[in-house]
Amino acid sequence: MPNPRFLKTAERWMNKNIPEERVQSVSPVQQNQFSENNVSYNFLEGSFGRQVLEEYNQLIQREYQNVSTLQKLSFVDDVVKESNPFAFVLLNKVLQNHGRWVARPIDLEKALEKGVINLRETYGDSGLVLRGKNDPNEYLAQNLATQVESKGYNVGEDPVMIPLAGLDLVYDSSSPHNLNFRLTDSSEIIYASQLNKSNHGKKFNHGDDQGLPIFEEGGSRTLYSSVDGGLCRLYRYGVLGLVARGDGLASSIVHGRVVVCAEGTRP
Amino acid sequence: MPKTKLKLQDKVKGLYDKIGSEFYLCRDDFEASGERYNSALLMGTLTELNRGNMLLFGEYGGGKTTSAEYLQSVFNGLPLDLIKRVAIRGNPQLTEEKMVGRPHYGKMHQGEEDVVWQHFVQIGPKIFDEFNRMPESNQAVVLNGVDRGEWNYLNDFISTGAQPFFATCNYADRGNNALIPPILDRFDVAVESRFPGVANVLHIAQDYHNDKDKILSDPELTRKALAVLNSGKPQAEVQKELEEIVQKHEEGLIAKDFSVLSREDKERIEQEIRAVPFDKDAEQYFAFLVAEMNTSPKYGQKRSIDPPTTENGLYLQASFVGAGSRREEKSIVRYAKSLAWLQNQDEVNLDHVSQVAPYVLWHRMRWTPETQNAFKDNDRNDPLDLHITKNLLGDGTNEMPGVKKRFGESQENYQRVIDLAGHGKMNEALREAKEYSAEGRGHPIFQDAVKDLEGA
Repeated sequence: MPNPRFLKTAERWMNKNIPEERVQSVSPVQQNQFSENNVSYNFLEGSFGRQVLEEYNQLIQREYQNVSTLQKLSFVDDVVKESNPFAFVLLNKVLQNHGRWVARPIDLEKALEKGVINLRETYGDSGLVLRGKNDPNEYLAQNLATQVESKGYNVGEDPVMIPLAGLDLVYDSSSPHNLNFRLTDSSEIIYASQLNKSNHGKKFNHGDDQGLPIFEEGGSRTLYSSVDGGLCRLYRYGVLGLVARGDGLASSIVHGRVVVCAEGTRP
Repeated sequence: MPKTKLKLQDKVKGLYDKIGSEFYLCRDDFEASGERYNSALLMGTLTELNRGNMLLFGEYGGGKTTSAEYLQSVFNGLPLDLIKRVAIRGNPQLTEEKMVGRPHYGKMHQGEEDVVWQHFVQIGPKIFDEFNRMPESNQAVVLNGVDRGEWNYLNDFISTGAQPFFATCNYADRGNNALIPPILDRFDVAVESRFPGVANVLHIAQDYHNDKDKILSDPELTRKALAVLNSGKPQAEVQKELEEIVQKHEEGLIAKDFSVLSREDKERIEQEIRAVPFDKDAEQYFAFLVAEMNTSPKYGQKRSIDPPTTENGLYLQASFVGAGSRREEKSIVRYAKSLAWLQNQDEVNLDHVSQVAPYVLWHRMRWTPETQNAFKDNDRNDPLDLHITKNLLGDGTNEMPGVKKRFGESQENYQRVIDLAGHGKMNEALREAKEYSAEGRGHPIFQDAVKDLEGA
């Protein structure tokens, strides 16, 4: 039986008529551990870069059985090179201990907007795009979709974009890559209709407050999103390309760079 | 009725203005419904009106004790010198016998048990100066007295009923102690007595003999009052004689063209304050705040023994250790109503609640280190804990939105649940409440509504 005090309060507060149109439920407010103001953006370089990479390699050895997918990063020319989403999720865990994080799509947009870092001729992962439970990357897609759905989000309609900073990584011998993604309290789950296949090739100049493209004819930048299912990587390619169709999650080349964000002006 | 009401409010505002302009010079730092006040003086006035308990924080010589003395003297018709004489000053050696009462040594030698009550206990309105110089172990001695105006010693007790109580605290240093949470919870509000500005300080500095205090002082009546307090007469008789002294003092003040509040005035004010209703926005915001402070989807309810968790979203419950208390909720209601009354408003509005609530909560909140880190480097005018409380009860920041923002986001949905329940559509109300609750990730008000609708 309902609490009579609640009902009395309801009688006191109620409007004469019940509104006919149903109002959409608001999304729960989630913790955002990442600052958006006064952030500095840098490549992972110098002695700090070397130290972080050492800690990263120790972590692979200690907790991830030296999985080859993670052993991609290298320290060459005084900077950490290469990029794939698995490596960046783990790298983010190390960076968090230093009060920093791997750039999310919104961070990269802000870095580009401010022109504070030269991203030409480099690429870097910043998120995952989950469009369905099928291929590409069916095993990981199904697993991640289950987690996303358990948090009240739909999978299979609009794509879901999840920034890498905020994800966790676990060893999973059943996974094709021996690794699997895990959502955490601070994972951001963002509906991203902009990343639909239908928007493949569209132009834009700027990102919105989630780091997703705001399309405009004659824009100088291009979205590549010619996929309509499964799990893909989201990465920046140079300054002009945003790729939301990369299905080779483990692949990495020497042009990859991690952009590290820090509050304040620390390098 | 309206004429009488206005007269009482004008009287109270007159006293507030008098203290602020002549005795406790200060700057305005508080705004509600378009009117500006000094927070220490305003909360002190509201404390007088509803006989509450107030903590005053501040630097040495910052006017904490002074403001409390003036408020107690002016609003209660007690000579200022008597107020100063009966106040307790905290120190590490302060025992129950020095604060509350002691055995009657003469009678004890004759084999009788009797209690000699300390002045501090016998007098109604109280000031406990440098409260946090008292060790934590002794703070429990004053718990009941602060809460209910009841004081026990040996097998005897004395009750002065609810009376305005002020305690001053210096900021942490080597000479003071932390206040225990149950004591903090017994203080309705806390304020900071602030630097009043250079112009005011220049004026205060010239008043080196405190000449202005003479109008409020009466050494002869104070001597008489102390004699009454020392008389060993039954408490009822002591109170009656003190009342006569108050009347004489008030007559003296009136003769000096100084307005006073009679006992009848205060009783009528209290009745009028009680009768001020909350408007719907104010009451619903209050409901949202209560839900955020007491609900935890993960642990069933918020408890001081469970760690705060952000697992279900960054609601207020994730930002502090502990839980809400019924005392603090009563404090919010009483002080919001008092403010609305003072402003001659027919209803308590959202502004009254949201402006008063931070002063009710900031001294009780134990913010998590993460929350403190998020705000510690902010530019601010308030002490850090008050700054955080104001932010998180208001709109908050991009990183940490506040209760008021979430209230704005979810009120419409909540109203739907209310409308459905109010119109007897229980199943629909429950279904929508569950939907908005989003398995614990929606606003806690919906989780609470689900429980009420299910009759849990």
